[in-house]
Amino acid sequence: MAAVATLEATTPSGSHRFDADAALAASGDRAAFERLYRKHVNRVISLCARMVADRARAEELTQDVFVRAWEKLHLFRGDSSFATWLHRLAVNVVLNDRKAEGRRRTRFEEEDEEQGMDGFVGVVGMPLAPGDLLDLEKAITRLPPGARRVFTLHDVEGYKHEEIAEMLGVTTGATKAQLHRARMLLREALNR
Amino acid sequence: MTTGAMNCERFNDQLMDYLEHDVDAATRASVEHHAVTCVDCGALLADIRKLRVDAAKLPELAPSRDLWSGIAARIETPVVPIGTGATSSGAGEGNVPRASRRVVRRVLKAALIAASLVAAAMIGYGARDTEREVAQIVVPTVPMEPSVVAPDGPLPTQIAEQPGPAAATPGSVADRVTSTPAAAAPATPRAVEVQLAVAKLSADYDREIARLRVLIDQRRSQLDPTTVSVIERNLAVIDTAIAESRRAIVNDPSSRFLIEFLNQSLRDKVELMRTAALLPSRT
Repeated sequence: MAAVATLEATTPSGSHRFDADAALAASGDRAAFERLYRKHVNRVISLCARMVADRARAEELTQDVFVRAWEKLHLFRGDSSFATWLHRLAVNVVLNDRKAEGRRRTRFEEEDEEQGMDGFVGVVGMPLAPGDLLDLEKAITRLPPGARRVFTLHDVEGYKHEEIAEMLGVTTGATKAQLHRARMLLREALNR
Repeated sequence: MTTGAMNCERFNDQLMDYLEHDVDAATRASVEHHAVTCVDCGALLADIRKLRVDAAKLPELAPSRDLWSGIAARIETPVVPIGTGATSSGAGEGNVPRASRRVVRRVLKAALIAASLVAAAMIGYGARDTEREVAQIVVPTVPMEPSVVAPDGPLPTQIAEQPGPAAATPGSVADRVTSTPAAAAPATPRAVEVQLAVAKLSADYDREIARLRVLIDQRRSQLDPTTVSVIERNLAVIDTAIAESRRAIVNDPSSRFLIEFLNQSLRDKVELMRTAALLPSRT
């Protein structure tokens, strides 16, 4: 959880402040909740945007995350930091959204089937001008959905394979395979 | 290329576990040795390592617009305090209903309640003579369940229970209600009291409904069209029940039965609208 740890590695007084805000927000203090929002919104939208590769949708999901957080705050016990709790909640919101919109796909591995490696010669599905160089951010958005999610959760957000497998309801073997695939595709894209 | 026991194929097979520090010391040494001696595999390992570092250092993104106003609108749904009969978990500002998990159940519940209200209102309307006889005994002596707590005034039911003539003033809501054609018969003081209570009850709910309607209309484009359609259909059913109840009350203002049904249907409408206003986008 390297990224989350970084987020939490603020000054001790800063951490204390946000824990206090979480407690206040849990008691119904909307001003405290807005402070939490201001502090964490960039982190949440970064996760959402990279997971869904759709900026407008990511913003809607970010709003959903905070509404859900407000609803669930009474369940936040402080066992972990608020940032960790919120981050995990955001992952769940994004993954649940995927399930809601992607019920046509029933298996994790099937999701990227029609976009196999052969379909990703060069950059995923996007015609590029010769010599155009994708940056990593753009390249991530063009990964197949399953590979993109695992790459984002593992290499960007710092979750372990065991955690990702639990979130996605798949085996660690599947997440490792998707991660390997994502890295190879990204390498290919970035080295064009 | 083969270096010792390692070749490019085995290197590829072991690469993920190597990067996860999930190989034994001998394998680790073989992988690293192969990476040094094989240009292609060495480049692959270097690229993947750089990719991991770059990914972990990706900058945070920022929203293109202020998202807080939308969040605030959803969590600050105005609340009309509902009495003990309410099932809403949003009775306090800190407790917003868990709409996403309960929407289907609530929509179904609202539809069932609305349908039963229509039927009950019709029955009540048709049998009002009998009902009036009962109500005239019950209303003055048995306190109604305080189902609506007006934020700035006494309980409507308390108004109905107050003895003596109504304090209706010329041009008041009570005047408006009792002046409808259906209420052509001279209104008794009791009837005016009840009409006043009903008017106040309706006004409280109407304010809340108007606010929720604005909120829902603002969020309409974010919601699944099918869900919106289901909600609107059920609201229409409830509206029918409300209209029927109001008409019936004009003719039979002392019917506690009808007043309770009107209160219940208004409450159900607010409940359903709150649920709609708090729905996650495109559920």
